[in-house]
Amino acid sequence: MMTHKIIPGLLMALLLLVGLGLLTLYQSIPRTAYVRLHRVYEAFELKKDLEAQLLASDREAQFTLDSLDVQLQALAAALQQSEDGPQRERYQALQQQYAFLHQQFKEDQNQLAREMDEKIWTQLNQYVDDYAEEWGLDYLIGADGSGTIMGGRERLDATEPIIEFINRSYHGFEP
Amino acid sequence: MVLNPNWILGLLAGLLLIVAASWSKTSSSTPRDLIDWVEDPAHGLHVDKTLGPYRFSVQAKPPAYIIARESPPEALTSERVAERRRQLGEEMDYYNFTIAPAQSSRSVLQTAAQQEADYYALIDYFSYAAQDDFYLLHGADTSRCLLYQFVRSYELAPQLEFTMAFERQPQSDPTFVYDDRVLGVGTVKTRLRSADLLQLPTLKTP
Repeated sequence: MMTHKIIPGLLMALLLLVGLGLLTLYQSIPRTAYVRLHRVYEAFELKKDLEAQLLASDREAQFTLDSLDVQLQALAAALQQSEDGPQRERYQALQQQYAFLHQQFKEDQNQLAREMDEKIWTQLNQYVDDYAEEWGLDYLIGADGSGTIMGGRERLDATEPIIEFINRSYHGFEP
Repeated sequence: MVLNPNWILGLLAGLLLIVAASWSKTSSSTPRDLIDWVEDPAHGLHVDKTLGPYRFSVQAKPPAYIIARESPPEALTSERVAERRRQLGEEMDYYNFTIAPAQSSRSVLQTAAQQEADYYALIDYFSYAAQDDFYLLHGADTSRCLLYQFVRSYELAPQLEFTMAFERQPQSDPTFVYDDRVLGVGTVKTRLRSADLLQLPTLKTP
């Protein structure tokens, strides 16, 4: 008679132990996802905003150079008609100015592009890190298109959710 | 004893009124409670954002909050509160902005400056030119920064603190924007709730 009372209790305890064991096992399995970095970089809205600024700056510089170029061509045409000492001097000075500005603008644009990249990666790294923490990922692997990750299950591809997450974070919304 | 149904109805109505009053917008708070309420990130008037080595904090300052912070509780008479509200006006929204180191103990300026010349250039930028890099976005509208002060601590504190005011755009959740040019983090956007749209506790006066 005692056996009838003990067996259900033992079965329940065994069931509970098995359940706890399975839960512990599940929690010990590393949660992994991968992200296509190039796609995330291109879709990041800060990158688009900064790129627009860089293009605007490039257009402004080009406008200045084009104006100088027009003056140079006009002077060159005038010098072909008749050699004029002061005009020749002015032409040479303008040529030097053009060369100097061309070099200066090129260096400025390179510097701006480097700064742009730094800003983008600072924010991108932070938001991707936040995503991994929020979703409890143990590994978030970056697939950069170099062939390091040759294949992966689509269900582990976190690219699109991460793009949404980083753009919401960038605009200040709760991701 | 037979209970009169009218008494029961009256009692229920009274209970309902008490419950409704406790949920009403005009619940009043002590200055300390109001300050804690406004500074609680859960209410949307205080937002923190970490980017790289820096943590950016934005604190919206409704007029009641400013008055609660600046005066000792015993000085908060109804007349004083009304006078300060009049002085603060209806044309501007006030904010505090803080840049703090996210993890290290080095100050923000020490982290950002590579050389001594950079350090003074940063001081100069934050003292003056940075005002143009702050604005509020309300949908497609932009509010300019009208008042700006960089509160210098001369490296006594590792963070940088700013207090500022913007053109008022009522009834609209703002996005606070800092277009960084010196820390290498890009545009910092934080979304807040509009104090006009929240059930802000009123300031209790003696």
